Amino acid sequence: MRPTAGSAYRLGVLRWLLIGVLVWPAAGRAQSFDPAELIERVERSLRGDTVRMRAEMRITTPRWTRVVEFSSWDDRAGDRSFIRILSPRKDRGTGFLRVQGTFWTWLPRVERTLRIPPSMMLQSWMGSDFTNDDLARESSLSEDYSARSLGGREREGTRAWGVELTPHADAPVVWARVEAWIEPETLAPLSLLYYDEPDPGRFELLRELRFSDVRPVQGRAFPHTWLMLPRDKPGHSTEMHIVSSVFDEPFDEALFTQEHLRRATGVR
Amino acid sequence: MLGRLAWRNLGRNRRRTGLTAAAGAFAALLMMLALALARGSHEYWIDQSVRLYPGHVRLALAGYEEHGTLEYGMRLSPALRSALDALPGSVGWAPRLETWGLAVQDADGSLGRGAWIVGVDPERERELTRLFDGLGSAELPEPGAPGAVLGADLARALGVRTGESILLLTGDYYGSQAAERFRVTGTLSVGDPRFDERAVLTHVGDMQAFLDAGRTVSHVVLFAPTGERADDLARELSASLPGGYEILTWPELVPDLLQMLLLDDAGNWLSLSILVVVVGFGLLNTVLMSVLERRREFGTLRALGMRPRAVFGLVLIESLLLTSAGIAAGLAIAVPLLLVLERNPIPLTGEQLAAAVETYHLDPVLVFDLSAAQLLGTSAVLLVVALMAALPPALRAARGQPREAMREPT
Repeated sequence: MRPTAGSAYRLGVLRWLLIGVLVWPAAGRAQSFDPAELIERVERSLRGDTVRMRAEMRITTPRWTRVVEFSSWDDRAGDRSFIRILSPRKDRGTGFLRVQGTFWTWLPRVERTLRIPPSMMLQSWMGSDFTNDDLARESSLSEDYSARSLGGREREGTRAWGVELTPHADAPVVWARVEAWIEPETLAPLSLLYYDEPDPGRFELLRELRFSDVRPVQGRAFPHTWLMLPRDKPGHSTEMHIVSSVFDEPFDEALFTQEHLRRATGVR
Repeated sequence: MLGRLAWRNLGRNRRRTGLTAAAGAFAALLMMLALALARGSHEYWIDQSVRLYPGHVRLALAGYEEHGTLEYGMRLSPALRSALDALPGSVGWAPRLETWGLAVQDADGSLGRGAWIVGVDPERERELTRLFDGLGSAELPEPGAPGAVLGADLARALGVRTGESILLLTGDYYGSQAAERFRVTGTLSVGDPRFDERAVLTHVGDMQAFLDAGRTVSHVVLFAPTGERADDLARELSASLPGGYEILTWPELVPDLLQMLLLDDAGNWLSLSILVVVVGFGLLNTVLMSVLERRREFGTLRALGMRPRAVFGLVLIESLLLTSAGIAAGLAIAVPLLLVLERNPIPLTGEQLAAAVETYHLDPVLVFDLSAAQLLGTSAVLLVVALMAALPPALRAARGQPREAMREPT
């Protein structure tokens, strides 16, 4: 049955009404945030000035699953970080130290420190779908990108604010674009979408980081599960569970030294 | 009757008959030698290349050839082991666990080189491949005490000697970093830069522990009695295993070797074809001359009542007899000569020639292999040529009119 002119008109009106109902509140909210400030606030709530964490990382591939446990110290203010692997046994004691742009790893099996060149910062960390850069936190969403609002939108049943992040020319990142989606009430991040630009103007989603399990920690809405889904590797994923986190405590200077890196007993 | 006549005719000009038969004999001998050399050297090249490392047949998980990563490694289960042991067409198999990494000198750690790190079963390799042939007195890596044999050029580049140690750094089975100290038990030089400049050979058990790989290996190579039997072995293997595996044979594993063989074959066919054509024209010349000389004679035969078909047959039989005599003489020389050459390959002297062969990692020798099929084939080809060469003169002899032919002066 072909729609008559009358029914088509009614449908058109209905559609506009529906869109109006859906867009109205989101549009009202969308104007109420400054994208750069929002990203700065999100980063602050995720990383604080400093954050000490203990985490379990479950790596899943089509052929195997394994869990890596580690402790990390992220000194965002001092632009440095430290990670010590706690398990599995074979990797226990392995350490990672970043001081500004320089990144080292300590291999206790052969008692050697290796410098990881900048070209390897985007390679897999410990076989996971996270990169060295993700863990060592060399790049920063608020400092290395410029932000543009994407407005408010309905995403997977939740209302979210979107921010499009474009890297500065000199930023140590490879992503052509990052899209951040944030929960407007609590300012907890929902997801980060990382894009490549294979041809000018055409963006391709490479990986997606989904945050969930949001619980309050020291006055912030902190997601305790971080799920990384690489789009080019079906069946692969890495889920990081933050077991404990302490924000904004002052770190001992000795933490970020080669001596501490080499101290295999320094497992805390 | 025609046969006896033809035999007597050949006897009438013994010098010409002898020379032509000798030319045929020489052609037969040359063809047989060339074919035996091609066959012998191809078998030898295949054998040498395949026994350096690749194997006649390679068994891996489906997708290994394309990706080549540890992720596509296969579990060498006891069931798989016994399936491999039970193959009747195989003379043996060897497991390999390969990856790429960094070899670092242990002393000050400043010198690193990209390395192709391979876990092998040294006893099986010794038995089946020539990988460790040049190792001399150096010991093979023993399981349990991580040891490694280094390519000689790699060892030189790193500045390490036998007895010293190196660090190997790579990604383990789970993609996490693996680092281990290995004692250098020896160096090897096989003439292939893939090994001499990059290889670090260690015991497969140590390699599995190093990479946290359990019982995983990259692939298993199998050896057939000869290169020609590789396909049969691959079929046998495929029939004895469930799906999900990738089975390749040496032409796919060493494609440049196959190309070299095809090129060599093409060259041989070209030169042998030229030889056959030259022999054919020589024969044509001889038979034609003898027919032209005997115009009067053929006229007389026709006048006495011999049919043109019989005259035609007579000339053909003469040519066939002549060639057969040549082939028989050729065989009489070729067979004993080849039997001797088969046992005693000719070493290539001349530095340039030897160097050219060595670029293919082969020993500079000429190897012959006698095959009955080739001897029969050569004989058959020459007989066909004899028939074809005799056709125009035979037609001419059969067509001649007795009256005109007999009028010609002898």
